[in-house]
Amino acid sequence: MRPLPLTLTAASLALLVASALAAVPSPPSPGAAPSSTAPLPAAAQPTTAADLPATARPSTAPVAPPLAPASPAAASTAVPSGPFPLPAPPPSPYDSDSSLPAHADKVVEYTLNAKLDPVAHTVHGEGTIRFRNASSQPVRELWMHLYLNAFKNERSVFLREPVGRGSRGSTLPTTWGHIDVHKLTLREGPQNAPAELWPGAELHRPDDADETDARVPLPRDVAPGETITLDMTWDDKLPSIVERTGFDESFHLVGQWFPKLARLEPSGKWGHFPFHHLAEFYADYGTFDVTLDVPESYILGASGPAVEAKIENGRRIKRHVQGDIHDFAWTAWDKWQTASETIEGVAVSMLYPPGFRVVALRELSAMRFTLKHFNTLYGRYPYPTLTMAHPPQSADEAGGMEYPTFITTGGPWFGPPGVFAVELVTIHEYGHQYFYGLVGTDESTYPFLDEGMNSYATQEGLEALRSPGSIVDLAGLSVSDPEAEAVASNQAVHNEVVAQPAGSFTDGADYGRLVYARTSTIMETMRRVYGDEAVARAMGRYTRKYRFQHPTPDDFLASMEEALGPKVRETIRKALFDRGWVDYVVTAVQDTETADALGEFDVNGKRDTVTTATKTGGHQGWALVTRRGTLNIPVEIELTLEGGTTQRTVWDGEGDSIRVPYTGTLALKGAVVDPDDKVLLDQRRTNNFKSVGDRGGGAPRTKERLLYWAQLMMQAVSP
Amino acid sequence: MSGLGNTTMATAMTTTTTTTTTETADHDTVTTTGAIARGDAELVLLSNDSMRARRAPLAILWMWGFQSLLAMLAAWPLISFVSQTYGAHPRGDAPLWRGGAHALLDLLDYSAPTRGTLTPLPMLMFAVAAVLGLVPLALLLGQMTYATRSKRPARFVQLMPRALRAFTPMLVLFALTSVVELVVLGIGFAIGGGIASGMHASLGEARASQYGAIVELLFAAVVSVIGVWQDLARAAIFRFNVGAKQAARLAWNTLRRGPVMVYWSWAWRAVAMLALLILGSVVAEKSKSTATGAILPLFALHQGIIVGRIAFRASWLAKALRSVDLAHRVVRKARGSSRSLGGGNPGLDVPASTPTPPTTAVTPKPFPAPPLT
Ligand SMILES: [Zn+2]
Repeated sequence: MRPLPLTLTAASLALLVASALAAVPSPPSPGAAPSSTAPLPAAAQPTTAADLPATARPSTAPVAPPLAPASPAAASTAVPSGPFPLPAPPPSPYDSDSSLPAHADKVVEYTLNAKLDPVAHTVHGEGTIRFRNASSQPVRELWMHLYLNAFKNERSVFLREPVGRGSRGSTLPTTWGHIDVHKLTLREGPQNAPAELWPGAELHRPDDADETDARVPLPRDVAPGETITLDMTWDDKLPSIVERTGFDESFHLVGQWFPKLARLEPSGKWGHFPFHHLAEFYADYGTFDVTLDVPESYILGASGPAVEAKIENGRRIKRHVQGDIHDFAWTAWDKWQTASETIEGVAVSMLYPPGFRVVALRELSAMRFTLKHFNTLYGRYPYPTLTMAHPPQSADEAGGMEYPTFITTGGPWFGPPGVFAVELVTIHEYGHQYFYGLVGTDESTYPFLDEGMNSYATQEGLEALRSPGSIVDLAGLSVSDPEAEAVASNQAVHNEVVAQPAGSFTDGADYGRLVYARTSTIMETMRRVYGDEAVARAMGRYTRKYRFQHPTPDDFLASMEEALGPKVRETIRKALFDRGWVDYVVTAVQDTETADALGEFDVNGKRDTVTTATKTGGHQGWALVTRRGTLNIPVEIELTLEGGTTQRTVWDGEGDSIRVPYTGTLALKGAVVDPDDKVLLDQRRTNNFKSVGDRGGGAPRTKERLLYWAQLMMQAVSP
Repeated sequence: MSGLGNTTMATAMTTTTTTTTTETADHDTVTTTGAIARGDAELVLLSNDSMRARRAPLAILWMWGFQSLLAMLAAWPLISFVSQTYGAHPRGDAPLWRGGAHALLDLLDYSAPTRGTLTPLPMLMFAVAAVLGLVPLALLLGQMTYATRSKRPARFVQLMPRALRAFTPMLVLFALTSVVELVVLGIGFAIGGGIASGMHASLGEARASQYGAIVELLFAAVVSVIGVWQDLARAAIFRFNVGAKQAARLAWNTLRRGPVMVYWSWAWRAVAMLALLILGSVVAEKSKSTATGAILPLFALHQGIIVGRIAFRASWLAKALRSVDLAHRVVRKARGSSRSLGGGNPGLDVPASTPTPPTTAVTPKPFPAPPLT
């Protein structure tokens, strides 16, 4: 699902700034600060605490290794220096696509027929499910998800969970929706006779009126490896769109519309749950063979390719078949406009409302980049089709949603230009083809594995597409998505744990800031600190190894350890499970002119007394950097010298503090920790710097611009 | 216009025209159309063609000073907040201007608890500018309407009594037009929004919102016409020394007689002011350096743009003065020998006692420079 709360936070923050800047902000200039290459003074050799003046002697802070001068280019333009080195991991078969499985282990096979009445907004369904017990235990009951019942009444878990603030789908439907199962027959009943299962089904628990998670007792055990066939008929009444599914006038997005088996874990335990407000889905892989029947004037979009299409008695009938997926959704609207294009061998269909061609083309353009980019990073997209539907604004809650090979985007018809929300939602929903689709994690129990990892993939993709300014590049203001999300994530870090079930979050805003933003900020920090290559390798191995699988957080962490080492794994684990946080602070900076030592000195058998301190023309000083919080992340420390030259050193982040010594001919002016904003997990940036005597560079540009903007605003309000 | 209006105006003229100043050949004109009051004793009315922005360099500078002073006060809390934080960064505020905006967003987040203390002063200053801005505006209009007897631009102290006298009618006009403008805008947005939401089923969302936006733009255009009318009324206050009500009528007559010409005179200058704004943005965006050496020229350019925009505004107000005056003259000509307004056609908003057509008003020869516009 789209990161709406987050997108809102970041984009609205950005737009707020943009509007505050009244169209005249000035541009960001990476490394515009005047600094020139300083040859590392000879004196910048290793120093020890004992070399420092007594007043400057550190208490317990370890002393940094010698200052490594940044490369000349780095020093002169302050471009980010290289990644913190990690030992190269042994090669893995998952470094490339050669070991990718061609198909999933087929557990389910749905053959469904659906007939839409677009006026009554109902779907009549019938069909069969073939299900194989792929677990190690006999199965005595089935669990079926009837998620349309989330919109049946206010007693549903979805509608009664008090997490509305900052989350989607917080309004009540104006038309209630439901799914009524009429028949569920087990063909292979006792004595090989069909057995009716629905009369014995338990639609809800005795103490809970929610009807989204039905238990269906079986009349006999289904042995491991055995396959059963279920025949069923049902009727859907679609709700007015609240979230992910429903109708708006003649527009229909039909998701979670059929009785759907929960996922049977290898242990024999069913991974079933009611439809929680913040949670999504989890199911076994298999084949969907779905025949859709709508009025002829309606245009269809659905998961998988259409293998048959015909018009009969004023009805449009299309049969879609797709294997290796775990859900199926479709849309029907008599106003859809269409565009299509083959990208990287995938037939991409774009459905959009009349007048939305500009944004539709932007989405196709984003897909041209993303399909290729994600093929490289996370393994080849294995399906022949991808259908993208951009719902009308009146059905906005149908937007920003992922189903296998079928995604919905969203946004106004005009874009707007300079704000890349359209690209974000496109990349994000497509990213779910990996983090949800191909890597079938349990979205309800570990939402960070799909939404979080996918938010990282989205950020990475946006940044690769355009940076800086990956989310806003308007009137001189450029905002990068990861940097905006990092600020949002830092707001919530102490509130709740990231790696918890969706239904356990007490607050929708925290769900957004932690599951989406915190997870992506964790991974983006790893990427910036340890390098693109190392993190891309780790993520690529994980997504390839677990294609068509259902990995757990442990599997994810093991993948990270294998590629990035145990220290990085522990950092990620702490950040995800233990509310891990970090705040680097430049606590103090000092600079003194060097002078001859005073006192009595024995030289060549003679005792000299030095009474006047003669200045030797040099400087010595130090910067004390402390680390608050529980995460240890390597970080760069930059010393700024007289004239703007800079020197950098790297602290591995171990221990509570470090003292970076300085000796040289130029005066030490100040210090900055994490000068290139690599550690996005750093809780606060206003304490990341200090200047000697608090005499920093001032705020000339801010003063000039704020005065000018204020003058313009005075003119605007003046009579 | 009604005879009652003319009577009222004539009364006003009589009461204010207590002292007259003569200027060479046309003292009658000065006396009757200008209504020079006691405090303005040294000032004379300028002829139609001489009412130009170039005649008011001091008033333009006063307005720049007034706006800059309030702007500085308004920006002060934010400037001092940034100085107290990133001022101590070895690279100064450069990180706040870096692409990606991480430091900027973090600072915004950091400022959240204190934001309440950062906003009241700017809000107060903007409110002050909206009301007290009438004073420099009046000085500007005054300096373009009058000159000293020696044909020099009127001085601040000479104009102040006139500006203060005009303050109340201008404030009344400002308040009323602001309300009307807001109402018109509100109606426009209501209709535009209604079209966008009500017609999306039949037209499609994109078309419906485009039509809605067109309607909103039309209403915005109406608002700009109201603004033009208000400026004409302000001009009338100075040109004819009348109250808000008479000025409103004079402005309406002026607008009615040449709506396209008058609106265009305003519109092209508004476009020019917008162009200056865009120029300032583009140059600022291109100038990436944070070094003082790069900021000083940018500062100079931006201040030039602020002054330039005031100059364009002054140019338009001068045009408004000329238009109001000209409309009066056209009326006079059209009415031929029928000079007695009191009993004549009441469609005229000119002082009843005007004995001489303003065509022969004071023409100060020593100001031959071409008009700014
Ligand atoms: Zn998502």
